[in-house]
Amino acid sequence: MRLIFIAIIFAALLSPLRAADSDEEQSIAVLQSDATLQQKDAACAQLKHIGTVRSVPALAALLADEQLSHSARYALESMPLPEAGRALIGALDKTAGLTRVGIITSLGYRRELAALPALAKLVSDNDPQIASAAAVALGKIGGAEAANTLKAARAGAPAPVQPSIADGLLRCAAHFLKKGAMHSPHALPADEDTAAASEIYQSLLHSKEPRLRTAAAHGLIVSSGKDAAATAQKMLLGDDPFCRMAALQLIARIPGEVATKLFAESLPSLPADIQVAVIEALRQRGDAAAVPALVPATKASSDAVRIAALRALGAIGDASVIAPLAETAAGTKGGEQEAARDALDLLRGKGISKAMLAHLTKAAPEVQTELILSLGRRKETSAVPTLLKLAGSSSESQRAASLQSLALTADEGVVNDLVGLLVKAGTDGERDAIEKTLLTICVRSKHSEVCAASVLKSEKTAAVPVRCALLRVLGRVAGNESLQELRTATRDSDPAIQDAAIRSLADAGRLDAMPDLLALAKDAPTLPHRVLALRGYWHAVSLADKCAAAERLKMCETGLAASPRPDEKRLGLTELAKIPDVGAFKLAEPFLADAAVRAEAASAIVQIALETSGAHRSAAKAELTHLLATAPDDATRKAAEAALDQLEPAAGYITAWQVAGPYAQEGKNYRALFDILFPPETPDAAQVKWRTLPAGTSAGTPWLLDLLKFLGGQQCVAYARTNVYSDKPQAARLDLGSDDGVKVWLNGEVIHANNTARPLKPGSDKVAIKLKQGWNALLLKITQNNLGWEFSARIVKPDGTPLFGLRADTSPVH
Amino acid sequence: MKQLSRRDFVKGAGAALGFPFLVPSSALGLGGAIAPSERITMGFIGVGGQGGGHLLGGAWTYIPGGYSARPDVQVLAVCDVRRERRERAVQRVNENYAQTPGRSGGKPCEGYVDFRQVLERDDIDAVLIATPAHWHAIMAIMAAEAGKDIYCEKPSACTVHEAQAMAAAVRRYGRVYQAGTQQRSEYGGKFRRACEFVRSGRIGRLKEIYAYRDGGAIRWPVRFGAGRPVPDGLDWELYLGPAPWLPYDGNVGSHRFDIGELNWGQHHYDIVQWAANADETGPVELFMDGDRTAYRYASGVTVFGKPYPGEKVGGNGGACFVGTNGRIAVDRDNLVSDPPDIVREPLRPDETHLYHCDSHSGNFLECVRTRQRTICHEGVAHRSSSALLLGGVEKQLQRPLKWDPQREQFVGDDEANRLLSIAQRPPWHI
Repeated sequence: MRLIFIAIIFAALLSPLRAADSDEEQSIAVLQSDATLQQKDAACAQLKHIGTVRSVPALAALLADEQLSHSARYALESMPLPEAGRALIGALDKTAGLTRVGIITSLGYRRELAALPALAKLVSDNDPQIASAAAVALGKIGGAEAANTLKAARAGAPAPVQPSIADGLLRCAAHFLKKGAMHSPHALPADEDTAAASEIYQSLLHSKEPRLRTAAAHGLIVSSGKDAAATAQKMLLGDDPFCRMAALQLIARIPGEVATKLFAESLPSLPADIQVAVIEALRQRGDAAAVPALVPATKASSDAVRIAALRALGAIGDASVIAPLAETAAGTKGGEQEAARDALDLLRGKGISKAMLAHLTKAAPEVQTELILSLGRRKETSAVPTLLKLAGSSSESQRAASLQSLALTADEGVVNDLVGLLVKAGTDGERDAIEKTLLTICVRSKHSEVCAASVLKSEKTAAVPVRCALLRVLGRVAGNESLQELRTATRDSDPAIQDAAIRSLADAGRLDAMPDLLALAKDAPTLPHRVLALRGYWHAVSLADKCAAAERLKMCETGLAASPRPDEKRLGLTELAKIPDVGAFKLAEPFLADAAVRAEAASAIVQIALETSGAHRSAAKAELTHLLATAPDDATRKAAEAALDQLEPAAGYITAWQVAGPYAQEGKNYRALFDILFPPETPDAAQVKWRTLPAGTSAGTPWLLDLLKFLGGQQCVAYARTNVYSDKPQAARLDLGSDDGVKVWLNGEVIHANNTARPLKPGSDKVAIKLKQGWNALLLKITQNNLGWEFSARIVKPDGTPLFGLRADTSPVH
Repeated sequence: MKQLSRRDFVKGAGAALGFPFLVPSSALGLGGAIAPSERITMGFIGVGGQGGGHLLGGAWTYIPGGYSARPDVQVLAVCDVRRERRERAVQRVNENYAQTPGRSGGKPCEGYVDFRQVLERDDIDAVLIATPAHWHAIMAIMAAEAGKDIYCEKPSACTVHEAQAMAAAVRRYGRVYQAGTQQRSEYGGKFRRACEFVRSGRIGRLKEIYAYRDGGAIRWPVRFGAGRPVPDGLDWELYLGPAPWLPYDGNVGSHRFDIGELNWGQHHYDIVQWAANADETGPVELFMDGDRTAYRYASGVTVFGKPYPGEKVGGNGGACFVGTNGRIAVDRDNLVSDPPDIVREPLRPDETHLYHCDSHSGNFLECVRTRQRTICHEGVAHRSSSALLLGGVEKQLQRPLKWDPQREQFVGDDEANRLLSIAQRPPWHI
């Protein structure tokens, strides 16, 4: 029993081996049979994976076969066996021309030392292709013997072979430096045979070919070990521009503070344009040792140098550069000021905020302002006490800047102090600025109770203008305390307080204030206040889109019942239309009888029907059919008809678009704009910002692309682009609808132009097109007169029947 | 002292301290007039959908108007193995120049079938490679040898050894390289901000990354089938390049030799590597997670080649980062987090700031001038493409693999190591 068990285990262990063995035997048998070329090629592919020493002879036999040599190399080239190398060497004498070149290349790839003598002969072969391949293979193998062979061959080699000999030598040099040497920014070459590498680079440094001088200079710097920085500096300051190119490339990568200083010190000796490149490299080094040389560069005569230096200081500067950066930010304009400000904002490391605060006390006023603003942008919370102090300063610019920065950095902890400042503020302007900061902080705060307590503490006793400001702030402070106080204030005896409280509640958009707003809509003392309250109510409903549909329906029902005037009814119907729930139909229907808001009611029903048509298709259709049957006027009937049409499947329409625009030109109407070139059509196209257009305005009409909703405007144009993938070249038809005119480019060519003003009718323009295989770029230009601005596009077969298999993507795979 | 113009400089006429072309484009102002001698001269290799978009712009591209609309670039050469594309591109470039004020009368743009003739021109500073994927690394290496700076579409390489050889060649010749993984620069900086937030610890300790797509690789096709006549106007031989010769079969696609996500994956893994601070390293182990590849970094961060379950953001090229305190998801249109505040608060000075540029092509051209490293330089491209390609090996072998990111070898798996390279048809080599 036990023996059987062991035998089973043993067999299981051996079986994969046996399977591979038998696969290999089979492949070898195929190679040695009169199987077809295709079968032999497949057997080689199999042996690339599993071939052992057993398959080498069968593969070797194919190396000289012009048709199958590549297949044999496919297996042998990557086979980790000396026998495979010997087979390739053995094939050298049996092959010629490109087949032989292939064998040589495989030997080089394998770094086959045993091939060196054969390659040494071939590097002088009369066939330049053979000689070149041998030179490169020698380079790939590397080592002293290969290098010496190449050096010896270089002198007498014919011109066509020279580039490969140089390449071989450069490859040898790289081997001497160990793999790749300086490819890591932190690693200098190990102590390999740098002398041998240097010798090769020196021999090429004065080549007639600029490309080789760059390569040699590059290698020479890399192989200079601890002298790399000095070598690079010499080339940087030297007179061969091609060596200087190499030096510039390596400045960022040679490690050490000494190197940083050498390069930084070279700056004044270099022309401005090279300084820019060196400064950029110093920035990339990230070593603060360059700072002393960069500070004077911020005063250079060249704009480009000054801006580069400021940028670099932002990245690598320490507290010592705060003063020069702030002074530049205060004393310049445009790109330089922007660079100085960015640099101040970017400074990293310990003690920056402390040093900025320290410098604040002694700097000139305009420099102080820059520092205050930067502290805000940097969100330095440690600066809050100072900012708070400066917010009460006598200088207007300091006050404004400090309030701006407090709005960015401070939390509810400062509300008390800001309220104190508000109480003391002397002018309306001061109060406005403080109020704005308070509002921002309170909206952001997660501790509304702290905000409420701080505001309420002073609100009751403050002077009227301050109370009004605080009531406006309270509107944005969540919680019962703030609401309670606002509620009380709406009944205050002072009309200004009452007004401020009602407006604050109306603007706040808070759900918890809705009952108060409804009450005020009914019984506020003045009509304007009643209207304000009601509009505030609808404003809150519009922000309640996260509430459940049933809840929103209830809000609309209550609000509509409390809205006596058509204006507010319209607001209510607008909100109702946004609720994708069939329950909304019932609320909207009665308003069809009200001539003043009939259009809005019909439009709400249409919108609700389209939004709900996905989930409640029959209910939506029934509602629209009913609307059509009972429509009191033409406009309503048309709207219902159009919506019913839209419920039909939107097959084949393209809905993935990106748009740019709107573009307009003074004094030019839509018709003139049609032929005016805007950036997407001009060389400035690179600057165009494309934005994804929401697919369809509603679930029922995903094919209707609404530019008015997305961009807005009149007397302007926009561009829309997408890509359509076709798996084969084919004729097709592009069915377009546009409001208003449309011009079309397919794969860069204008294929259609219709300069008109009209409402959208899908398929009003039919254009015969030819799709190429792969992605087809589609660009539309759509003009806008006024009112609606939309388009639709679909691709069908030339006879108008659906064309399946196309897809559209704004950023296709490429 | 009289400064040499950049053209003089490129021709190496005499010695001077002047490097007028080293003025960053931001300082010149792209709208300003730029003398022809100060423009970067470029050749475009491959002008199909992607290369044509780079060259001429188009409704889809992130550089509308293309390089040929840039005042700081002069396109001198266009190369494509397909005549129709080549001739149309040449015509469009020359028409654009003729119609743009101040641009007519310069050297005309010329068309080439063989990219080697573009590389031979000593008046071309830089090339943009947007050919089928199997050519990318070889052309980048040959361009570096020819002394050109390089913008190369993704994938940067089709095998790990190609990736290494590409990076080595760029360094060997001291060139500037930019990989076409523009997510580090474009799309309003969403990807950079996501990576900055992750690396600043806003989601706590990073645990997992969802890369949406998994690994990719290359394989040579079944060949020796019956062929069709090569159509007039196509150089089939140059289309195939390093692929084994096969008869024309009508397929001249850019990705006909791809396995898995070779085309699209590097975009994703480039962002994964950036967020994981792994630009100089790679995975240490790979494994299958259901039918998708996954891997782990030495830091313990696990990367899944699939979307984060239930997350909508990211399908359009993106990543989702999961940490101990939250989650960030990003794609070309969205940057969102859970909790939402994580991505709302702007980056503070003391947080991690990454390489910042707003234009991928602009960054390339500026680095051509200043010789500094691009945002997706050869080292980044080497490792980002490797992250994708190692997944491709995993995808083929479907068993757990250990990877040594320093030596760049699989540990104890011969077969996996054999898949790090692919033999190329002579005379093409890396």
